[in-house]
Amino acid sequence: MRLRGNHVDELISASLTGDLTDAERVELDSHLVRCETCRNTLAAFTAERSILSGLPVAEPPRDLGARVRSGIESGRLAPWWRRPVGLIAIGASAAVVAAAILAVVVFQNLDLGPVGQASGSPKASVSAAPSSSAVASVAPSVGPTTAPTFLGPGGLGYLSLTGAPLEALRLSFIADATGASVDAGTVSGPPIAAALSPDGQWLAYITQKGETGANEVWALHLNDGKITHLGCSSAAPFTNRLAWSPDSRYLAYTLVGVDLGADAGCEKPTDGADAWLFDTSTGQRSNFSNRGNAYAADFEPMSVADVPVLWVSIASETPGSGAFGVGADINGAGLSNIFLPLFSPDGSRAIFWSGTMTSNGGSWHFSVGGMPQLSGDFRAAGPASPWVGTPLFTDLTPVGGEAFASGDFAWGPDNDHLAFWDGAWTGTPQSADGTYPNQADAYVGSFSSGLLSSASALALVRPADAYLVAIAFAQDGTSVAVTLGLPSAGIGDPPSALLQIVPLDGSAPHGIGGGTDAPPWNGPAVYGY
Amino acid sequence: MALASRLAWRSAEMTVPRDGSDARKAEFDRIFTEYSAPIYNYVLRMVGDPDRAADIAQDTFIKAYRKLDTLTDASSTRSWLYRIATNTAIDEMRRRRNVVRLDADEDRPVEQADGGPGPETQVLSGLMDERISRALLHLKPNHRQCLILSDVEDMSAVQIGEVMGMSNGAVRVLLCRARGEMRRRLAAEGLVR
Repeated sequence: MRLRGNHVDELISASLTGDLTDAERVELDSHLVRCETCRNTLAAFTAERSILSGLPVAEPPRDLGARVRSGIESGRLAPWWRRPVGLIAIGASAAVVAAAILAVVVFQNLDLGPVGQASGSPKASVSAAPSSSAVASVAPSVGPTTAPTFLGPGGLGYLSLTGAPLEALRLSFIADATGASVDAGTVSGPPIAAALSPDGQWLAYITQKGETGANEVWALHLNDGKITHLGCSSAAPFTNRLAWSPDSRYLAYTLVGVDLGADAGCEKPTDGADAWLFDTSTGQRSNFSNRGNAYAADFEPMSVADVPVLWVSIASETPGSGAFGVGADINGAGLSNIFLPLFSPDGSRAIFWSGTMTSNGGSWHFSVGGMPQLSGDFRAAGPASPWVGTPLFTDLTPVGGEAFASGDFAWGPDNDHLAFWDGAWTGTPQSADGTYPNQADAYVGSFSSGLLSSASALALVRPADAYLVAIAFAQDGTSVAVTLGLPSAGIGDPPSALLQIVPLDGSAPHGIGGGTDAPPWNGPAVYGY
Repeated sequence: MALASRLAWRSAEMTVPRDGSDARKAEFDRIFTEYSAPIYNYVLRMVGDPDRAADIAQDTFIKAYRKLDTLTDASSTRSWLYRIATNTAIDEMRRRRNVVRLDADEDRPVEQADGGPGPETQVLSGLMDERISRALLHLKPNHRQCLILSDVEDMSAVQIGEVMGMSNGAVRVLLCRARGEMRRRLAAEGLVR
């Protein structure tokens, strides 16, 4: 019962609508006899109810029925609601891709701008590329702890969102095997990315911030349930990469400056795109770069002399990437035409982007020749640079530079399988039926079986208008967990997503999490180590 | 990638089934006839602007038609429909509040973050006492919503809970807070003590 001091406002309020139990009625009547303040409250609430109930009734527009019929027949809602806003114009420029073979150029002293580096780590200088010697000399990373983890080895966990759209969206992280859950707090939009720390103690995730066109980054400590808000970002391409250091101490992520106003509860980060670090040992976050066009890519799978090494990519017409020791002097040399590398679990290869980039309001995308590439084997001896990549898709031919503007990729645990999804293809379709490549498809293949092609599209069981949110490989390598977002059944309805486990042997997918009357949003998923 | 997924979600267009049977159409006609005026008035009091209310009411009934198969108990038609209307109105206010800032073509003023009064106050004043409208539109959207459902639509806490997706206890707490806030607003206007 809501008390205001010794007063019974909640009982008074409930009495006006007949929502009191007999005992509550007795209690209220008894209290009113001896409390003038509550008698005044009752009088005021009663007067207020009388005022509202006496409001005049307006006639609806005479054409409301016709408008509804027209909307039903056309299958569309009131037109202005559908107007897309904040769209980034993605398209190819007139320039032409010069060659498929990448010109890899080392440019020295990649500058991340003046930043407050995370402290407490030894300083180190690192090589720009994980050459064979670099890999051979690394010290073993701080491996996963032996403490029990929430998911357990190989266990599936997923984020689940329930509730009404405004102010009441509740996020949980659920262990599929046990059904145990950890409260991930109240959010204003669905989760779109998630990453489990190598020690299994932390979950980093990104949620949409309502319909603002922004995202929020969070870290959840699975042992004590503590939630840390790590910042807001424009929902720009290449901002959903969440990279954990091998020792699970640092989370690297990217924020693209967005000003939502004073009431949004989101302070604006730096202007443009910058890499940020969350230090789990201190609970502090800090920007790792401060130049407006830097993106957190990935940590080296193994630390160098116990110093975590973070790759940061610089967006520009010709992008580049460099490696930096966390807490070390910033002197990582950079590689040209390498953007957002993602290393295989054993560090032997990387998937990365190449192409010509264009800025749009502080965020970047590929405008010409954007293609995901697979590096060579960093362990192999020889004169060729392992960064001369092979296009991930073997049957896509950019015409006039029209290729992918953006997309996502992931490695399988076997260092062989890989996945690509949500590719925003700006060119003409490359199949006779005009459906390839399809942004709504997921392409899964392996290096040993010839990379990706139209035949690599996963056979998903989904509504025709579902879209790909995220993919995670199971630790045994036999399946992927696919999060499929569903278009809103009606504007204002809760967001909804299906989580499907898709076996890679071609057998039928099955759903995780089940559905309810108002289907929740299940996913993205992660797997325990 | 986050942006494309978000846009896919945002721009998703609803497809209304075209295979409606006569019985389905008759049921929908009954619902529209009975509830078009109440729903329009409900959303009008939520958003305070006749044009916006008409749009919201229109979309409410389109969505209701599409979801008609989910209405299995005719006795719950009212709460079912009000819930659709509520979600539609809230979403409209949220979009207007948050999205217009990103849209260079939008020429409407930005609504205050708390859902407070904007130009709709002036419009609403022609329909009800200006002081009441000012007080009502100053409330937080969820306070305004539950107060209208209770005092205008005469719903019980249980019924309000069905519309808002809340427990009976949560509705009682919310309603008490809303009454307290409305009391302060009306007192400031000299309408109650």
